[in-house]
Amino acid sequence: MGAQETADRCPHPKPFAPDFAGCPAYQAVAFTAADSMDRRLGTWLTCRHLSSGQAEAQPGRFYPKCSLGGTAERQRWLARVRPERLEVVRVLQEEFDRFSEGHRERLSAARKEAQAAPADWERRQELDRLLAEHGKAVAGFLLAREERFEDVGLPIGPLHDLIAEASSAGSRTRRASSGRLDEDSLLAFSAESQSFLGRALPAPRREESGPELESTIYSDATLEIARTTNPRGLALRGELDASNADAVFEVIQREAARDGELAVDLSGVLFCDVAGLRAIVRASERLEPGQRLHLRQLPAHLEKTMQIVGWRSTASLQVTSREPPR
Amino acid sequence: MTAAGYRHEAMLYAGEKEFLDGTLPFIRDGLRAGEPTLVVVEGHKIASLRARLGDEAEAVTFADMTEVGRNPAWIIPFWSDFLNRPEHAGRPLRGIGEPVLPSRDPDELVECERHEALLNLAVDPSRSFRLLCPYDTSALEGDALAVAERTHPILRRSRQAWESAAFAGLTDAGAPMVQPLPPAPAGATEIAFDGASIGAVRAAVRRHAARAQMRSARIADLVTAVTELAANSVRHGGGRGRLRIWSADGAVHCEVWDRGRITDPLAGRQRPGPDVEAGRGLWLCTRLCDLVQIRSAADGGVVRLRLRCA
Repeated sequence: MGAQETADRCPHPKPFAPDFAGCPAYQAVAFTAADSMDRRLGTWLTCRHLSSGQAEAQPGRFYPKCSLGGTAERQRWLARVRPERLEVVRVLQEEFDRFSEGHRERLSAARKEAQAAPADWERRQELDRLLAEHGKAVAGFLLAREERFEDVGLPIGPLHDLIAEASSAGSRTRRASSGRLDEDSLLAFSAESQSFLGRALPAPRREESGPELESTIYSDATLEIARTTNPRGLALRGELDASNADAVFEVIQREAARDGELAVDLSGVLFCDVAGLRAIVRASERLEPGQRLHLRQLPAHLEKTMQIVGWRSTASLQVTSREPPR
Repeated sequence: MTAAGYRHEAMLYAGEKEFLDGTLPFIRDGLRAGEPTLVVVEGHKIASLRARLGDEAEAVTFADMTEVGRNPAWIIPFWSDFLNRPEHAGRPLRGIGEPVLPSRDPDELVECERHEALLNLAVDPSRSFRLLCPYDTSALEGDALAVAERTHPILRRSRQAWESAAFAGLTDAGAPMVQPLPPAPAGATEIAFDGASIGAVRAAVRRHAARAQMRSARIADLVTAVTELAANSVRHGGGRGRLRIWSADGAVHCEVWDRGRITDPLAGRQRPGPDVEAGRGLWLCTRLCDLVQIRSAADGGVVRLRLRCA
C-alpha cells in the first residue's frame, strides 16, 4: 500500500448506514441502482466525496478514495464550508429525497411505458404531464425553503432549472435513475446548484490565500497548530475549547517569545468557545509592551463571540476578519 | 420619600388612555428637571407617546421592548448601559420599562417576573434613578398583577401611590430559583457528556437544529451557547452533564443538567469587565438565545435555552 493511497483512503465501512456520523465532511447521496431493463435493484447510501482511486504500486487495484484528500484536507474543506452550513445542506437534501421519492417512482414508471412503446403519443403525453406536475411541485418545495437555501449559497431559481433539466434528461435516456446526474446537463449550472444534486458542496471562495505551512507543532483529537512562514506565525485548524485551551495558550506564548509580533491564522477554526478565545487573549496580554498578536482571517462566528464577550478591541490584538461567505 | 435614590415602581393601568395619563406626566416632569429619560415599551406605544410629546420627544430616548427586551434577561444590561453612560454620571435619571406584555408566552412571563425581581438588586440603591414599570390590567391575565406586587416596593394607579404589602424583598430576589421548569417532552433527545465528548454534543445540536429547519447562522449561535453550558458542567458541575434537545413552536430548546449550581443571581445579566479570567459563558449564552432559564434543584441545576428557527 503506497503512502498516497493511505492518505486519501476513505476509512469508513460502506455502504454508509442511514445514521452514519463518523466523518464531519460526509455528504450522503442516495444511489438507486437499476438493471438494463430499468428494474430497480435497491438503494444505497454513498458519499458525494467518494471516488475510486487506483493503488500506485498495483495497477488495476482500486480503493475507496476521498476526493477531498486526507484528514487535514477534509478539515480544511469543512472550515471553509462551515459545519452548520453543511448540516443545513444535508437536511435539505434529505427533505428533497423524501419529497421527490413519489415523483421519481411515478416518472420512472411512465418513462418505462413510454420507452416500451416509442410510437405511443398518449404515453409520451402522460410523461410530459408528469414532468410538468413535478416541476410545479419542485417550485413549491423550493419556495417554502427559500431562506434556508439562500443561507447556504443556493439561490432557488437556478436550482429549479437544474432539477427540471435533470428530470427531463432522465426521461430521455435509458440511464438508471441515480442521485448523480449526467455531466452534460450539469455543466450549465453553478457549482453550488450542482452540489445539491450530486456533487460536493464547493467551499466559498477565499479572499486571501493562507500562509505557507511549515511544520505541525501541536496536535490533539480536534486541533492542529502549524508554524507558518510568510507571514511568520501559526495556523490553527480544528476546534478550540476548554479541552485544549491551555495548550493553545502555551504554544502561542512560546512562539511569540521567539520574536514579538506573531500572525495567527484562524481560517481553519471550525469552532472556538470562550475558553479558547481566553487562551488567545491571555497569550496576547503576556507580550512585551507595544507588541501585538495579529489574528488573521477571523471567521464570522468568532468575530461575533469576541464582540459579545468584549474582547474584540483588546489592545494587544490586531484583528483582520474574513469576508463572510457568500 | 425623597427623589434621591433608586425607586422601582409599578404603574397599574387599563388601556391606552390610562397608559398615556400615567406615563406622559412622568416623562414631562423628568424633562422639566433636565433628567435623561429612556422609555422601553412596545412600538405602538412609542408612536403614541411621540405623537403626544411632539417636539419634546426629541429629548427622550425610546427603545422597542419587543426587540431590546425580547429575551427578558437582556433588559437589565440595557438599563445598566443607560445608567453607566459617562455623560449620565452623577445625574438623576428616569426610565419607563414595560417588560410584562400579554404577547409573551408563559415561560417568558416567568422570566419577566425574575427580571423584575432582579431589578431590585441590579441598581445601586443610592443611585438617583426613577424606574416606572407599566402593567396593563385590562390585557394581562391571572398572576400578572401579583407579579407587580411581589416585585415592586411601590405601586401606583392614576395619582395614587402605595407601598406593596406583597413585596418579596431583596433577599428573595437574590435567592436561586427552585420552581421546576415544565418537563421536557418525552421525545427529547438526551445525551450524556463529559469533557471528552463536547464535540459530539456540538454535532448533535447542529444536526437537530438543521432538522428543525433552523437557519445556518442561528445554528452556529446555538452550538456556541450549548458548548458554553457544557463547558460549565465540566468545569463547575461535577465534570459531566446531560443535554436534552427538542423542537417546539418554531424554536429549538436545549437544557443542560449537572451537579453544579449557579449562585450569582445576576449571572448572564452583567456585561463582562476587563478581567480576562472572569466568566463570560452565561453572558454569551444569554446574548445569543431568545430565552434562558436557570433553575436549582436538590441535586444540581439546569439551564434551559431557547432559540427560534427562522
